[in-house]
Amino acid sequence: MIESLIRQQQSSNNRFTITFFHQSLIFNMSQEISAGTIDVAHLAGLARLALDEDAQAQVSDDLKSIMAVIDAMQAINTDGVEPLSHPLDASARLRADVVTESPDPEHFQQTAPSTGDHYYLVPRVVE
Amino acid sequence: MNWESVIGLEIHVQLATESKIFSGASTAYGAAPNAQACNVDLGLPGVLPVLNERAVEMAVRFGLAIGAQINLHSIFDRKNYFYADLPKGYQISQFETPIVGEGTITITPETGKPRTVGITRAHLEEDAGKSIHDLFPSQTAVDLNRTGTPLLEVVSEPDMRTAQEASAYFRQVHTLVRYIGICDGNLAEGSMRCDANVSVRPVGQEAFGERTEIKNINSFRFVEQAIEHEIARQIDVLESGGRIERETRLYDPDKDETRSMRSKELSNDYRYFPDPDLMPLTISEAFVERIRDELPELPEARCARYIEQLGLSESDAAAISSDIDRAVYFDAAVAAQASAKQCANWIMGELSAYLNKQDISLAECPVTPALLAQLIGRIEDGTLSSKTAKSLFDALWEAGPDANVDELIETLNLAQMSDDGALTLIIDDLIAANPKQFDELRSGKDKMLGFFVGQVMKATQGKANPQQVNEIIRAKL
Amino acid sequence: MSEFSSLREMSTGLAKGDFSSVELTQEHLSRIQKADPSINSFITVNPENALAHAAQADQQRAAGDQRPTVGLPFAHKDIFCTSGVLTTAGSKMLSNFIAPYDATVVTKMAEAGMVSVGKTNMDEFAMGSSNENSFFGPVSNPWNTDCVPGGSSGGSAAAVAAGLVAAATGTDTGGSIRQPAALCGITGLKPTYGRVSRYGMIAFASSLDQAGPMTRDAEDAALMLSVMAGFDHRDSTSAQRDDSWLAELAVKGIPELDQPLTIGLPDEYFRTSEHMDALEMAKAELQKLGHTFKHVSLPHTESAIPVYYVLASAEASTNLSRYDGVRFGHRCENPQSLQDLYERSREEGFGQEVKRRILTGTYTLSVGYFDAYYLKAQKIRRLIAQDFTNVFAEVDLVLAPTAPTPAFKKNQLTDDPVAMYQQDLYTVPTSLAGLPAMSVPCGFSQGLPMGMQLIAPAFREDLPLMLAAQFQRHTDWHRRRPGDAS
Repeated sequence: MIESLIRQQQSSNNRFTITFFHQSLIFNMSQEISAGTIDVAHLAGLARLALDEDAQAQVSDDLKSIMAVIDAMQAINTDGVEPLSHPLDASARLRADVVTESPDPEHFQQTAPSTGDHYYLVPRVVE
Repeated sequence: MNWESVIGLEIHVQLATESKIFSGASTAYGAAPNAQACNVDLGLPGVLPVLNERAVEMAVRFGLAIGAQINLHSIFDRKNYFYADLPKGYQISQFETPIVGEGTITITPETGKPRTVGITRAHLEEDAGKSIHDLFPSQTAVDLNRTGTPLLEVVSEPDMRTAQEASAYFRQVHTLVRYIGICDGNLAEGSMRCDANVSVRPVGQEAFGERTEIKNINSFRFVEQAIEHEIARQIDVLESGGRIERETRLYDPDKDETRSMRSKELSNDYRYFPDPDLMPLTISEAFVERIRDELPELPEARCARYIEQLGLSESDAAAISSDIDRAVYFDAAVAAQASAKQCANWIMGELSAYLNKQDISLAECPVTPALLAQLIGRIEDGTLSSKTAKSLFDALWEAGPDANVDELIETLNLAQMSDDGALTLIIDDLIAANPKQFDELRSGKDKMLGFFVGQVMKATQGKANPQQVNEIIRAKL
Repeated sequence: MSEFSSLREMSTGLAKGDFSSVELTQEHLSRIQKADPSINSFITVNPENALAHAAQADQQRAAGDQRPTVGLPFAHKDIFCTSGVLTTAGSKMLSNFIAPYDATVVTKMAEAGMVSVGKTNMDEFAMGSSNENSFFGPVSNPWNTDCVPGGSSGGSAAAVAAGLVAAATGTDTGGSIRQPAALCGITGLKPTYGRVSRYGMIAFASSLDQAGPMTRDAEDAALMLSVMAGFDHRDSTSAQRDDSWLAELAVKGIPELDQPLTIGLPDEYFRTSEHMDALEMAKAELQKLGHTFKHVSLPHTESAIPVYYVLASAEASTNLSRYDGVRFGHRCENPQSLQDLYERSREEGFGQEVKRRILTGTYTLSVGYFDAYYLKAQKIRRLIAQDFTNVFAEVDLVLAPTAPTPAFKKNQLTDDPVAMYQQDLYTVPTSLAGLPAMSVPCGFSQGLPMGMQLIAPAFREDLPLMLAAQFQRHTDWHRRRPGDAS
């Protein structure tokens, strides 16, 4: 993969317009997780980002190329490999059950956009 | 058509730690708004969670109490959703690998036989804050004091078939968590809340019907009402040809109805993944064994002991063992040499009545187990009659825990008269004053014995020993 | 005192009484005032705070405090929360955020008597390799102001390279200390994951983020690390280690290596000759110093970029959920509903690249994709870490290029996020494995500085520090300045 990167890097006049991956790797990946089916509006909804149609189209293109890079890893055989969630691969450290904080809402709310009587205020939520 | 309902509960048990599950802020109830929300609870940029050891211990204690598998390796995940009272935009919870695995809880519904409810799992998580909708015009006010309070979410199998069983199960979990000291059980303060998953199916059908989830039920009564209502609603819908939608519903106790909560439906893709700020939780066998050793005697074992070793009736044993405070009080009184049966009678009778009347808990009871034991002792040795014993109990209640039983008996002149001579004098006077009645007694009308004993008791303000009075009168015949 | 003095040199001057910390700080402040407008390496400069701390440091020294760090000016990357001071993470979202508490690193630097002159520019939320993703404008590379300084700690790197400060803190998630250090011709150390507390450091990807020093040379890096490192009970991922060797380095300086090292050259990092002349010369120099080289293989190297972009984006997508316009940070005008408040505040507050990564992470974590992406990436992460474990059974250290190219022109890669991601090619594998790695200036390509990367086993920062110090005692690449003939 790096070889292909470097080859293209060397052959290109512009050093940095690189398409990175072996086509073969992209063909190796399973079809159902191909990047062609990303529902950007749904993702933006989950992530609470207001994106207009232009922005969605742009993001959609970007995500397709990013996912193409990412999908290259599907070619690696990981049978029997335990996931590594943390580089230290250690266990949680526990703290004693002691009250150590005495928060002052005045202090923490100096930086808050909207408060009243020490509450944080948001537009009325209807349930 | 005959319908059968299928019910499972998810109970959120607020763990009685001093500090929060991932921060050093206090968990005390009732503070001023946001006065217990520290930078970690507020989810400020850069803050990090550190797990409270006590919360872990309490979860393990619960697991051991329900005979569950304790997972020595468990993982904290992020459950991602946006809500005003969820500061980080995710809740730290346990998804695929909870700390407590499968267990069981036995319930005894008010009607029906005891049955076993399967527990699927119990996991640790942090509570969210509180949104208050009626404080400011067109604004929702957010108080994050409750944010980060440790919760143990206890998930049952869909093993319950009636609202009564569900309520009995909720009560049993309430009993248990108070027993093992992991929750104060204060429902009014939200220390235990439950979500109910409810579905109905035609009797005899194997497959479950589509279910709904009723959120945030916080009293024994509402569990039953909300589920009853939801069962009726679902049957109604199905019998009129409709379909049950899988949805979240909220119970409104004022209107006695459940209604759909569309606001919570916006995102149902929680994108769970292991929280990278917390490494996997690994606990040792030794840690688990230490907690096992500290575990108190559990309700079932206690109840059995009361019946087998102390000779209590099943109902007394169940009533006393069902509440940890009562059981501890009872055990203390019995340890102070009180007769177990008398003790049970007093606790279930006089003592409970007083506590109810004054609306105080056993912990605040001015009559200590030792005082009650002494009182019972004085009944058994004949110093007190059942009537004077009640007077003494009154006096003890007023006097408080430092009272001296024997001094009070003396000061209040409550001891039974056991002086034969004095009693004989009184009886002689009564015979002289009531010759007709005495003749009737002599001629075999045994009812008249009661008359004379009653008169003696009256004359002695209840202090005579009725047994002794009986004997003296019989000797006169 | 030259503007390119090291911390060590200034420390000696302070100890001898050649100048006071107030004078030194004043001089730094005027340099920043004069030169920074053309570089834009600072977001916030804090003259009053800085001079007050400097005066306090002078008093401490007068009272007999002989710690080498007392009174030394430096700068913080604007990703560390500083109580009462604007803390932006390079984002519009936090452009009004006065942090109400101090990061542990900030506390430690202050306790060591060091004087922060301000907060440096960075890619928004540390996402970027060119410092062009800052709400506060791009940073220029002092070697060529048409070029980027690298990123995300581009402000810190440029400030050190331009002689505005001798040292700055940085953070590294996939190369954010090492790549800008290489592109700006300075020394940058990413410590072992867990060595430096993350408390109060605004999170990008929690399982990768690590703070470290950006300095002129290895000696200063050791001095800075001795202050920054240490166990922190507020960070569950903080490692409990014996740090006495670091304290000793701080006092005595870096000792000579007592024996030559076996240095691994991973084939996967040496498959091109372009921009490699400097590295070849550095290898020759190291050989001359008695070290031996051994060819090794890190076979999963090529998967590191995809794995990194899955894990970092996933973690980032949820780390950045807290920026919702409710308790701090940017809130949109006149929100109509809670939903509207969230969506517009976040849309307005975040830049393009941040949104891209949030959406990438949201996608890979969503229902049905988790196993194929996140879990798969975690498995390959183990394979990558295992590669290093295998190699360190054979060699003491690994030598590699830091970045595939020298500094590139502004706007050259901004339209192609995927090409930009390749800047992290050589730095990401060590981040995934949590290993310490250091970038050391080793020459030039096309008139721009190049860095070599020294990668060590976990918690063995002493090895790259000692090797770099030795290299720097025999070379002067780290003393070259912008404007010098190269």
